[in-house]
Amino acid sequence: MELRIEELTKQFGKTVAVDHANLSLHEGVIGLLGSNGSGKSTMMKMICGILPSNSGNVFYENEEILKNYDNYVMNLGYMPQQLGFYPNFTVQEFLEYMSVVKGLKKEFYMKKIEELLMKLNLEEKRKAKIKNLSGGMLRRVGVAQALLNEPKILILDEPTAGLDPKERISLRNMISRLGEESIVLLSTHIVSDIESIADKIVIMKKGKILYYDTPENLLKMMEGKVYEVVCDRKTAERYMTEQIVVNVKKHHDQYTLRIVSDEVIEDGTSIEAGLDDLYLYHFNDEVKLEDF
Amino acid sequence: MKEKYKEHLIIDEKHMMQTIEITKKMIEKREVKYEENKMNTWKEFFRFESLKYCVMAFISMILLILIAPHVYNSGYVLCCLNTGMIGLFAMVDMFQSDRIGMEELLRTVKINPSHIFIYKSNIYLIWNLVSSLIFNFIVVSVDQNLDYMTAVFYSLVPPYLVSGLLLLIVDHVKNKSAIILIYGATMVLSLMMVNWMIRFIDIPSFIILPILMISFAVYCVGTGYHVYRMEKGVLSWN
Repeated sequence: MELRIEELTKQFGKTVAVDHANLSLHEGVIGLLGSNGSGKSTMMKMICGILPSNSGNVFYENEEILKNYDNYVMNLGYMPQQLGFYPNFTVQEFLEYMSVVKGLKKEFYMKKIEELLMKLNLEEKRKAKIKNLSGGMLRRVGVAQALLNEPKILILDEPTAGLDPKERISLRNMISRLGEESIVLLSTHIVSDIESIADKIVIMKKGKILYYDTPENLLKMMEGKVYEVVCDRKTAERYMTEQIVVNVKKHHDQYTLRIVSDEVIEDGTSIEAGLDDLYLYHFNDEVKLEDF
Repeated sequence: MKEKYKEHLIIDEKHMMQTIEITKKMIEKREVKYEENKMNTWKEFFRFESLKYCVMAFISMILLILIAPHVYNSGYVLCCLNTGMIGLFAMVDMFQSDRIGMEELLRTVKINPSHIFIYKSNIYLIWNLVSSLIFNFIVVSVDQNLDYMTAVFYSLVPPYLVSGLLLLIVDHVKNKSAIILIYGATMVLSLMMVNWMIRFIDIPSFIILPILMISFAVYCVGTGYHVYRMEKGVLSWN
């Protein structure tokens, strides 16, 4: 099973949202990592076929998706970032409605809905109206509707935003299982969401794909670039202005800093890199407080 | 030792049963089943959408019963009221969908927003016709005035004509906004035509039937053509 993206480009006025993207996706969980406005959602919409590209194409099993879109959507599950579902439907009604417009057989979708409500811990909320659901529950309903047709390609745009830690872990485990049989592409700017489950990671910046590789290979690139420094307040302040500081821990008068740097930090100890370090290394100029 | 261990072992029966159920369902591999009979999909869609349209049609009928004795040519008013209602309803639906993002989601499914719009129009048309006939039956029974029946025929022309034409073009027009614009323009034109026939030319009653039959034929051809393309799977879905 292959989903191939060739020279995909999207421009909004003078802004290039996605710039000649090339990817070849196979079964597994693929994390799409990038800061806000890096082109993640735009690329996902083009992969879903709901946003026309300026140039380039998306191929599923060597067939251009728009040429046989009817067949493509049968294999597609999509959860948009904006979860604006019909507010007066109950959870059960909404899932039934989505099953109908997906063209599923009643005998199939009724069983599937039961299963998904159970898996996503929504059983007690089946009669609750969409407008009365919390952000986390709404997101779980969003995931449920994407899974109704047991898609081979699952596109999830920021699925873990607004979920509490328990829900996050539960969803991550579920996504990980789905990745065994499907292509699961999930976007996020929260590194820990994909750290443990992604088989491959796509890093996007300003519409361009910087890297597409396994987490291990990406982390290899960071070898020798991450340091831990124990210092006093004055030195800590200097490092914070001069270097990329990923983490600061204070213990009495001592500060422990985690620094990402191309230069050798002489009073620091080289330590193993994590995806957070990788993210900050590439997005330090774009990082905002809300990303954390 | 075992007894001591048991004291600290808390078994969540409910969670355990849930896990067993999920596992059973995961083991039982099912093939995803798509509806081959499109009429069943249509019926299911109708089930979801019909209630609000039924209520809307009923409200328009009640309104008409209240205003009919005071206006000239109640059939024409019925026609305007109902087409106005369906237009308003469609517009509200469209703007609400666009605003809340449902539109985006519905573009990744088999029945896309343009089709959903047309289906909704047709659902309203069905309820509209039923309520119109009930209303006219009441008026004819009470008033013994058969002129109303002619008015009913007039009132049926625009909805049939417009729905039929839309069903013919919906597979070729990808943009939902374009569909709605065509819908609005055709509706206004057909209303003007009916208005012209009623008010400015003294058209004999026997002419109305052929016009109605032509409109109905357009509707049938449109429906048939649409169903044929659905069955053949040659719709340009996106």
